[in-house]
Amino acid sequence: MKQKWMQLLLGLSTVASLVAPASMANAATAPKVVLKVLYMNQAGYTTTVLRQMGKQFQKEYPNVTIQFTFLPYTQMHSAVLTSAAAPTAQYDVVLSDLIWTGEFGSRGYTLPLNSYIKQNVKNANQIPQSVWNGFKVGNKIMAMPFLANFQNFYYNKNLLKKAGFNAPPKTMTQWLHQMKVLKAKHIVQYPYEDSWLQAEGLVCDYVRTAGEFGNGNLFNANGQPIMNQGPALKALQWMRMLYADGLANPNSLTADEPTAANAFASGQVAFNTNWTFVTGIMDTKSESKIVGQGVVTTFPVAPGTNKATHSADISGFQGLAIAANTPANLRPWAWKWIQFATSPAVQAQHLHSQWPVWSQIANSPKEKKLNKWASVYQQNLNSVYNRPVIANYLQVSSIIQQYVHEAIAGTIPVKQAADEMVQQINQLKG
Amino acid sequence: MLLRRYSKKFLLYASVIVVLLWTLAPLYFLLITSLKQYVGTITFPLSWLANPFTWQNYAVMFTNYTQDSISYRFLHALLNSLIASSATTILNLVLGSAAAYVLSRARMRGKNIITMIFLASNLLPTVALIIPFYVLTVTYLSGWNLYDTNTLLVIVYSSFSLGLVIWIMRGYFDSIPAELEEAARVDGASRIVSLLRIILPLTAPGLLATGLLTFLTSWDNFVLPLVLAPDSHAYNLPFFIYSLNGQYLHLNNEIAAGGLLSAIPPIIIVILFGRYIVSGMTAGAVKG
Amino acid sequence: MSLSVPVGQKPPHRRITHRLFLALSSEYIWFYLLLIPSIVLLVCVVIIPMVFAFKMSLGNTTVVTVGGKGSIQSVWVGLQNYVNVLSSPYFWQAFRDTVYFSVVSLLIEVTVGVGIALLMNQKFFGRKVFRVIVFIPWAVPTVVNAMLWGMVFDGDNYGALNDLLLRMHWIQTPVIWLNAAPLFQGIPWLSNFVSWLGGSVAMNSMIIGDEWRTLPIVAVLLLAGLQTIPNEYYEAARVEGASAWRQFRAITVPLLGPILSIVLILRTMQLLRAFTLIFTLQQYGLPILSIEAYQQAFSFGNFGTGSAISFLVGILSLLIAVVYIKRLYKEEM
Repeated sequence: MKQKWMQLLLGLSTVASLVAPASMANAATAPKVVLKVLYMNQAGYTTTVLRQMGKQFQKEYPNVTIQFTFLPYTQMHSAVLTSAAAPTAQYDVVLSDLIWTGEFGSRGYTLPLNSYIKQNVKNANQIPQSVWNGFKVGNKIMAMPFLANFQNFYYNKNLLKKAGFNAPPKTMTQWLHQMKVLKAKHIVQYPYEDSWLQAEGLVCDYVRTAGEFGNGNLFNANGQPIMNQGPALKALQWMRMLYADGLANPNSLTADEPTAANAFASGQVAFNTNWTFVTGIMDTKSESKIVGQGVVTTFPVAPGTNKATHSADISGFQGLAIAANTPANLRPWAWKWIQFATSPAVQAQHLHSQWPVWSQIANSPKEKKLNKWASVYQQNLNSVYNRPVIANYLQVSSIIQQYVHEAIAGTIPVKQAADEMVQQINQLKG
Repeated sequence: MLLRRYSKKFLLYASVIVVLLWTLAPLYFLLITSLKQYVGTITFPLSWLANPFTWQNYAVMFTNYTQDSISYRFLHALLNSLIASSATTILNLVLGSAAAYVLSRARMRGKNIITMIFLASNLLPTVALIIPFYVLTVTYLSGWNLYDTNTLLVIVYSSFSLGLVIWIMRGYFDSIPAELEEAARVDGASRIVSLLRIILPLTAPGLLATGLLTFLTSWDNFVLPLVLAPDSHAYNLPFFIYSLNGQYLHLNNEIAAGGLLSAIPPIIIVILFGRYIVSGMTAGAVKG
Repeated sequence: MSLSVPVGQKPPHRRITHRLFLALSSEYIWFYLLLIPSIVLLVCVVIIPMVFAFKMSLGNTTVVTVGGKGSIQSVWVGLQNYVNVLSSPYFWQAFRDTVYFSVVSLLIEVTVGVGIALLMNQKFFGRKVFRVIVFIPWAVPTVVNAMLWGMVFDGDNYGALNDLLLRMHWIQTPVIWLNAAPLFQGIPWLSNFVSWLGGSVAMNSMIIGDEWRTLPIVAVLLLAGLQTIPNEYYEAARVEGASAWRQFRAITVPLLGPILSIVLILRTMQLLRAFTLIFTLQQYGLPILSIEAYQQAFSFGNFGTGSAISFLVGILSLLIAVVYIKRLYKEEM
């Protein structure tokens, strides 16, 4: 007990010294470099992992001090914006979500990394092309891929067995059938829950569902929005149907990803389509009531589509980028850090926390031993669709969110919602 | 007649119970949630006792103090909240009561207008100011390194309390007859001395009320730290609670524990000094 | 008046020069110097930012990074941002939602708030403790309040409210309290009308969550008002045989009126700046004006549009503030 109090006191005094205006850097005699790094508070590569990487890096380059700033996702974008508005960058290296690629690239908030990558990155082709694509604006590569997040199809095998199914659905028709049986037999009230809260997660699920119906393109090759035709329209009809027929938990409309994961982990629903973090949660006793029941698999797809991959997924990649207003003398060091953190050697040390971007590690025996779903992961990663890479993505996304949400809830008929969505997006451009 | 009296009594106590339930049930729910293990928060039917029970959610706020741990962030946030709120309170009391004194005593044209401008400034919506604050801090004033500091928060919080302090305190000064001061000054005390020795003690209840109001408002502030100080240097308790709602798990039990802990100081203030706050508000802002 | 006035100890002949000195230094310089810091602070934290916001709102204001330097640049567009904002359906939807949120909240405060105040003014066992308990929710920080009501309104069957209602068999399936579904779905015309006004399940849940925290301060302030009404008025009325309702109408309402109206004006302005609760629980799903402004600036990077919206909200607030301040001065006279 006493020790704990001492700990607390110690902690408070450290805090006090931190809050007081610090001037550590000035006191140094050797030419030192302070690199300010903006990163997100998240699972997988957690803040702890990042600090470890930072320490390793500083061992290799003792003259560099890395100052981390960790923020929740909702604050990340505006923090990068702040930094870009300042004469000199507040953060030299920023974590870049792939949906910001278009904006950062076209407005020049971060630097293209082509020359760095060309000179320093060996075996760049070991990073799947789908991952590179997430960070490209034209030919410019705006960030070095750091982590490969994507979704998985999760199901509860006990619930499925109760309904008389021994295998997960392979096609959309099978999936629909299984959900109907689960509901008809009163095994669960709602077979499926997804994250359809009016937020970015909804766009991910929308693009992925469109992918399951053929392809996840919301824009055609000419940059015209095409939500009112083809797979994108089918996806909207599908989502509306699941909601209207009571196959998807109506709470999906207010659920973000963790909420949907909770529903799956509580055993209330049989299916969940969610990011890779669910794999960890579902088998953790303190977080789940379905330990040993959850299975990870590929996504069902409409017959005759996605022939090469037999799955259809959505990307949630994150890369590391150098801010455009990083002083010139810091840029080489910023790149050194990026190269270090994204290197296969470093990623191989943290396989237990995050799926690596490098294929040679993903396919390594070590990974297969660590992750019993490794081959499913690989298959899903190979089948990802990206959300559109456009300069005003966040504005477009907010329109998509609004109309998809209304279409699912039924306040606007599906076709009309899709048409209005297209019209609103076109107006943005005009 | 008797029946009517009893039914009236019954109605009275029934309403009291309804209001108590409405007030306390959410707090009770927050308390039991904070004492549950995580799985207990996603179990149906929900347990209305803290089941399965654990102290862990409170323990993590104080133990395992390492960089980035929950206790690290909690204690930082607590300290930041204390620093920013106290500094704002002191700054506003000193500046505000001094200004209020002048506005009460000076024979000066336009002093009512000045008071009104102060009061009106206090009533502006946060959004109207936060965008320019942000832009000014990160661009034109970026050399001052104000972004993400308690200093900036204190200055900005002041824009939302100074007007109120001046308004309420002016009311108190107005209520003290000028003769009291004159008497002191005839005896040679300067204006400052008479202000400090005679007037201030008389306005103590007002100072207490405005001080506590300023403290509570600053303690509660979320939007300003969200935009102006999201980093670990200055983020406060509300922002800490918000960021506990992580992207990958909603740890409702931890949020509840952190939430209750951050609500304890203001709850104590309200229980102990609620009456002063109300009389301050009614004396000043809500002339009744 | 038992006040110990400090007695001057200087001899009379020096006192005159001393007082002359005081007149020059204290009266005219030191005295006014006390006011200056506050005015400087006001100029720095309110006036300059407001002028700057107005300037930004007259341009296409975005973050620009050129040649390794970042800045915020404004390309003059005149009143175009205001034209765009005022002709945008999103703005008017946000405006309507803000008005609904405010008006319904105020209605609750006028009825329930006054009711609780009257209740606290009655004589009953434990009244003192009751008054303290009722006040407590106001002390709970807004973010904590938001998180709490997020848990209460959780749309899964393990959400607190759903669990209670399911146990009592008042509902068969969980209600999605935070979804913007229409109310009164059984009665089409009413449902349409309320939707048209901006009322949805989610909106009303937000209002309830917000009222839990704000009703206490309204009730307590009104109680303070009630306590200023002399008891003799009621006694006189009772002697004349006036019913309780008649006493309420004839004495309470008119005498409580002024304080009630001031509390309501203050609350209106608070409601106009409501942000935390809705932002925490709905992100951008229920874009009232302040959230719309925030999203334009900090999510889309359109600082011009964001400033224009927040400037409009500011003007609306100031108009209400003028009514409020006039009222205060009237009260004083």
